[in-house]
Amino acid sequence: MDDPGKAGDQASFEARLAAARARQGLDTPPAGTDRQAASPWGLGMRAGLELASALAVGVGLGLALDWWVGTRPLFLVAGLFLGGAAGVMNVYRLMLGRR
Amino acid sequence: MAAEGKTIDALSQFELTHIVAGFTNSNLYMLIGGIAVSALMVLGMQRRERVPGRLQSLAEVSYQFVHNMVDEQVGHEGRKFFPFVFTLFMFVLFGNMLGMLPYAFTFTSHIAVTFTLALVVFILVTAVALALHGMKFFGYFFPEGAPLWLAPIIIPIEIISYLSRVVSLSVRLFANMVAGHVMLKVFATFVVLLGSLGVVGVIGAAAPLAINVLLVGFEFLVAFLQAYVFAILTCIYLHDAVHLH
Repeated sequence: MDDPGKAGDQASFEARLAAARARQGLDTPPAGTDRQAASPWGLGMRAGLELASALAVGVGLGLALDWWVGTRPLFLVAGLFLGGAAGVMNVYRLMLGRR
Repeated sequence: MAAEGKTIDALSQFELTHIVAGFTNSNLYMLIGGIAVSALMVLGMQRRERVPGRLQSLAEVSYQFVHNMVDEQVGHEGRKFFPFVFTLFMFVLFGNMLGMLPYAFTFTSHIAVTFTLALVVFILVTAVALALHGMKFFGYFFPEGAPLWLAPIIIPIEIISYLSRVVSLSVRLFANMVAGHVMLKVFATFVVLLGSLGVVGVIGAAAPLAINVLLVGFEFLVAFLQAYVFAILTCIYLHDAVHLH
């Protein structure tokens, strides 16, 4: 079964199959693997969500700290600004692309 | 459904109803989803044919798809996370797809469900990073070479940015599913309300009906895409945890 002639056959078969598939347009790369290929709408939604969720976490953490320590507006204000900054950071990282 | 009263009731589809006390329709569809995924893999791979049939193809394609995704995104060391990512992907995908069936409940349209899933991912990623890198993991929150006096600003920002992953991961899936199903319901209600207006209304109802047909197709795309996005973001976070940048 495993004689070298068969192995060569197998390889040329794979090559011919790949060529045939490429001709028929069957081997198009799956959409969405490339960050750049994402639609502008999707990218915009993602950036907005990153911005908003960081802000929400910042405000939430601030409120929780205030409730715990008992300094009502202090950490809320700090969390608001830090959350906003973290949101900008998230969007910056998103736009930078990774790796 | 929509015809009772002349109002648009878009949100009642997300209400939980108790089938048995403590067991809701959401739980029922999670169970159905879990059984369907297991059935697809077990029954699909039972015959192990060299030229796969339809069910076997589906099982193999989904396995291959997630396997490639984990391999590409997390890298070679990421293979041990494949079962986790595959389970997550299939559960979310089947949750989204089951929700497209008429009268079905979409369990991914509840923030409680998606947030729990995101929390599982988040805890796993943090645990993996801590296990692999120990205390060096905390260096993640303060980039090397940054001036030390900036630490009180950078560290909270990085921590908030890290925590916000849970929120964005869960809200993205939840919001997409809710938005899609609300749109479907609203346009379906237009059809019913216009259709009750007589001949002119029936002709007019063709427009929202056509839109709804398009929306159903679009929702299938969204159902797949959101499961894919959920899985790929999990992979990206795992990559960060394994390599720490």
